[in-house]
Amino acid sequence: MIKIENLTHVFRTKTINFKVLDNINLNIKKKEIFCLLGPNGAGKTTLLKLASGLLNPTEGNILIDNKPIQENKEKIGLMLGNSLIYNRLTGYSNLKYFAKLYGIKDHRERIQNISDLLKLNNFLNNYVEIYSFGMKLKLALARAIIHDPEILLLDEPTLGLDPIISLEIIKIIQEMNKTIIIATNKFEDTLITQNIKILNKGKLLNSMGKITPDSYIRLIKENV
Amino acid sequence: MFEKLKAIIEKEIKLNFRYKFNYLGMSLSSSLRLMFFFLLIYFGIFSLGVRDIGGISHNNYIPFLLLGGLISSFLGFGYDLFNIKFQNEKYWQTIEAFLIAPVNKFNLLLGIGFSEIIRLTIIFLIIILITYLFLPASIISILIISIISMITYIGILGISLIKGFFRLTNENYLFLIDYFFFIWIFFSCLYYPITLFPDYIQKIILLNPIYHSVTLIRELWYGSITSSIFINHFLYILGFSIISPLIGIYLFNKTINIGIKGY
Repeated sequence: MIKIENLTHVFRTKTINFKVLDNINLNIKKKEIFCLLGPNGAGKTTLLKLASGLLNPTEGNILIDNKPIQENKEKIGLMLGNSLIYNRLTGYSNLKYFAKLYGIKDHRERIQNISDLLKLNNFLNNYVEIYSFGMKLKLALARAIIHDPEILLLDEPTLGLDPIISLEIIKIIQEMNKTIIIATNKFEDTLITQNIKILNKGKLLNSMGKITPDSYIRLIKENV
Repeated sequence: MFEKLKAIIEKEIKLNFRYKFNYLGMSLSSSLRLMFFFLLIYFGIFSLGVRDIGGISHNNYIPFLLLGGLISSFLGFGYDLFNIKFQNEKYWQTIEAFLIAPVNKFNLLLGIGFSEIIRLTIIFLIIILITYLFLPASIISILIISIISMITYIGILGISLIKGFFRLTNENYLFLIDYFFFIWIFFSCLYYPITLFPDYIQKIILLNPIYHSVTLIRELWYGSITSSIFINHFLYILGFSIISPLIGIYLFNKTINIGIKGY
């Protein structure tokens, strides 16, 4: 479903050309949950931004169902932590706005279903600025799935959350039955899938066998 | 198409009205400042016994200034609209959600532009009412003036989107747009007659669609317009309202290629 071929991305500044991603190749099948595990600055967010069409790669291709991303915008839902939501609007207004942008006909029903799923009901009519961190993350996830996308790109979906809410969110993600890429630096987020790759300094690392917290840390240290 | 446009307008109005007193209170202050400044100058000049300055006289200088103030207000609001919106969206980290949504960028231009319709209507009604008290005009003229004001505003939105593009991609060059705006305003003859300028500058001013807009509005109000003059002015304004948004949207579509900077 998602094919990433020879993907390289370079951030250019006046003083330095910084290779954020270096020759990444991935093939993610339909309804597969894929986890991209890596430390801060590994290039995970950049990869998700490229996969969502928010950035254009310096080299290489990303294809969704063998077509460029720009032809498949409706299929993608992107969550970048708790950003991409308006703090100065209510949760409901946020979801309604994005539902309409994606051409959802019956936005009321859709918002109701999602808020039931994510237990947002009691907060939807409040301004987002008074939401807790966990609530903002849930709303950001709700925004990403408002148009029922086939592909979900999640960047740090549990960052800064306590273990209970983290687990709650991870379980919801697991049950969504979508093609999902999760970029995370928390090993616990990877427990919902066997399909994990480690990204460090823009390169995918070869990990032999099952990845454990110890093997992850060892691999990162070996590749400093 | 219209659902998406409506969604953008609705969202922007909600954001604008989050602090509604400040939002509405700011409506008139910026446009009235310059108008009062020129009002004082003209009052002084005509009090000294001067009869006519390029067609402006003691009898018509107040409607002249008010109608200039009308376009000046539309220009003032429209010009900085996308700059301010995009600055907020950068700060809030929300612009990316729009960029990846399957939305035609004309919806963005018109949606954000029309979200200001409440403030613009207030300004329009106040200025038109005061002008009417000084020099009555026909209802048809006022209706045509409202249409011309809106068409001009759409053109201004295009320029605004160009500035917004620089806000997103390279804030270093924003000042250049502001210099351009200063020159643009200066050569728009919003508050003074074109005849104050030498001939060669008048030729440059005749290329300025804002000049055509304000002149057409004044001539419609004074009832001194012929059909050929109307068409001449109108074509300039119409061309501006088509070309400028196209350039703005073309540049905005380049945002992803260039990347949002300073985010």
